[in-house]
Amino acid sequence: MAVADAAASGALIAAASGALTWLAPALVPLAAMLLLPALRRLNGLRLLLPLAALPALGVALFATPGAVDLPWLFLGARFGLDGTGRIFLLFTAALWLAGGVHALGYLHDDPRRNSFWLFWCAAMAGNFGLVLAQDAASFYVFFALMSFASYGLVVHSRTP
Amino acid sequence: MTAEGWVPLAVVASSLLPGLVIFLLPEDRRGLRATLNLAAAFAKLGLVGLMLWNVGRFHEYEARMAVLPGLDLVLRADELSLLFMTLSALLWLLTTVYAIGYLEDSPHRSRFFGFFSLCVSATAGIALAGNLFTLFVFYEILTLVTYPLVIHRGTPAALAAGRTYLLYTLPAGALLLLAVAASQVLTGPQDFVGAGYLKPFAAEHATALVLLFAALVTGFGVKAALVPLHGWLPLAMVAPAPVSALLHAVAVVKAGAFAIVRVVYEMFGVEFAATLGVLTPLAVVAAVTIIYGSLRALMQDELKKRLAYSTVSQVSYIVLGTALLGPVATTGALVHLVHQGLMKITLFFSAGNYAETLGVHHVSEMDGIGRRMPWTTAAFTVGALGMIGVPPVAGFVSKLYLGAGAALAGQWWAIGVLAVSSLLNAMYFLPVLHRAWFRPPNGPWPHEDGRGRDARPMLLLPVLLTALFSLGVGVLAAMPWSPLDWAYLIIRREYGGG
Repeated sequence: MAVADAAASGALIAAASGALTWLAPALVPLAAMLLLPALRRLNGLRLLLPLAALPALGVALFATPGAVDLPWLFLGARFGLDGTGRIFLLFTAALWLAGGVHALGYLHDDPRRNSFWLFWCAAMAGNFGLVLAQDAASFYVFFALMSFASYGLVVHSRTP
Repeated sequence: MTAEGWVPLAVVASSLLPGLVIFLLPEDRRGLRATLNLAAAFAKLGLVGLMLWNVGRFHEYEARMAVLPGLDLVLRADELSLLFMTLSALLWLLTTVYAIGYLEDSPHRSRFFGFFSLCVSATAGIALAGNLFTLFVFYEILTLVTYPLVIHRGTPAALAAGRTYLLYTLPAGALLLLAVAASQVLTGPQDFVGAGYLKPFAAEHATALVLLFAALVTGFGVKAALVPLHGWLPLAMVAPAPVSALLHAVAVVKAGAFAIVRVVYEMFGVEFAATLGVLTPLAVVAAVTIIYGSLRALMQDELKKRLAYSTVSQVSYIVLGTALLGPVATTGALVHLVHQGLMKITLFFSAGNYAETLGVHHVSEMDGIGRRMPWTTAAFTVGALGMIGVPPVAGFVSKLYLGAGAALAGQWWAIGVLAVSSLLNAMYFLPVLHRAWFRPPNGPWPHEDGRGRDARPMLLLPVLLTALFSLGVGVLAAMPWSPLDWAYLIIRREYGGG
């Protein structure tokens, strides 16, 4: 009985961590975005923001191919990675990481940097999410997130 | 009456009786009035929850009283009634909280909350009406108890709006009375049933049935604001914000759309209505309303007026989905009944917060308002993106199903209507968001409430919750008990096992 329980909970943990593998690349930047307003005054923590791209990089490099079904999410969602997706995710994650590190220096004294990082996190979450999405609705959700967040980045300088 | 018939009766009574007591309360008993209001709203929500749980397991409630021989008042809780009932019970609770906060220091609060409660009782009656006669009775009560809310402020503009409201709704009521009488003569006593009950009469009375359909849709179309019967709605936005929320999301407009849904699905039956050839004209009227409402919304600078024309347009999505044959389009119509309510109430609450906190009534005054009132503006953003159809907010699910339903019904032009309308939605909502978040303020706000913060908690809490619901029903659309899941349940009955 106890063995069966342990096996069942083991399977549950495996399933949960499997799900996390495919969701973390999008969820970590989203969480960073939501925490951003609360951490506004802790300037040092901003240095850590580009690291939000790391889960995606890790998944692209080390995850074994697979997918997770989330029948309750959106219209029944599926997230995972195949060969093409892996290459795409690898380049995307590397670019976002590099872009983030560059932005740290570039925007060091920018008065609107908080707004920049908010949209940056959202656009990044959208970009990673759409690569990992394996169904049309989820893809479109993250695609829309990326499109709308990118608007915030494009108009950042507020020049006419 | 079955043993459990008391439940639907109690749902109607749970706002009717407190409403009558509230009329008698002196103005200054605000604590007692608020307690009564909230207790009634929670009681109603609890009863609706009980019915929802049981109807979800294929158990129906019915209360029946004979008025005349062959003429019964029937209150029945089935899947379709509960779709509307749950929405209005939930939003009534939130609107009550909001209204208590909004009307804190204004006069005539007892009168306001009395009629407010009666209005919700009438809506409950419409949702639970088990036959055309009952639907008509509560529909007319709704007209009468809403009038004092529209003219609540007593200003010349409010009185004029009230007059227009009656000018539209009373003739519609007379037309409906004729239609109800005609259908009684034609068919004898009939309850609403899954796939309609008029089909057996088609052979002898085809023309009469077409006329009956036209009369019913015209009568109910006034409240559903179908063009050209929509004129009263944009004027009625002079009413206080909680009334607008009620008109647009919980009760009046929704009651019209819901009645049309009942007539098409449970009186005629959608497949029989299609063979009668009445669905295509209805779809065309809905399409014209969708485009016309969006175009007018584009021209409005006054925020509430823009939202009002947006309602004209969005409610006809429900009618359009109803007028397209096929389970997917029906799903879109039913789910939009709920989704539109959640999103539109969020937008009206937000507009009320801007007016109360900063005195901002016009889109052109909204520059930089996002920084000043971030929570309200975040909620407004969710509602606006949802109306455009941006995933994962509720409106996306509705539009997806309506679009797919139009394709499956072979009505490709309807997809064009949806696309053009979404584009227009974006054109009248995105500039507002741009002003709010990306532009610096124009100068001092017109009329600050002097607290230097976002709206009062009583005004902020309801709008945050409705924004959360708008997002939640989209993100978790595939969950059991979501509006989409509930719509599937209704579909299985209308289309028989599919």
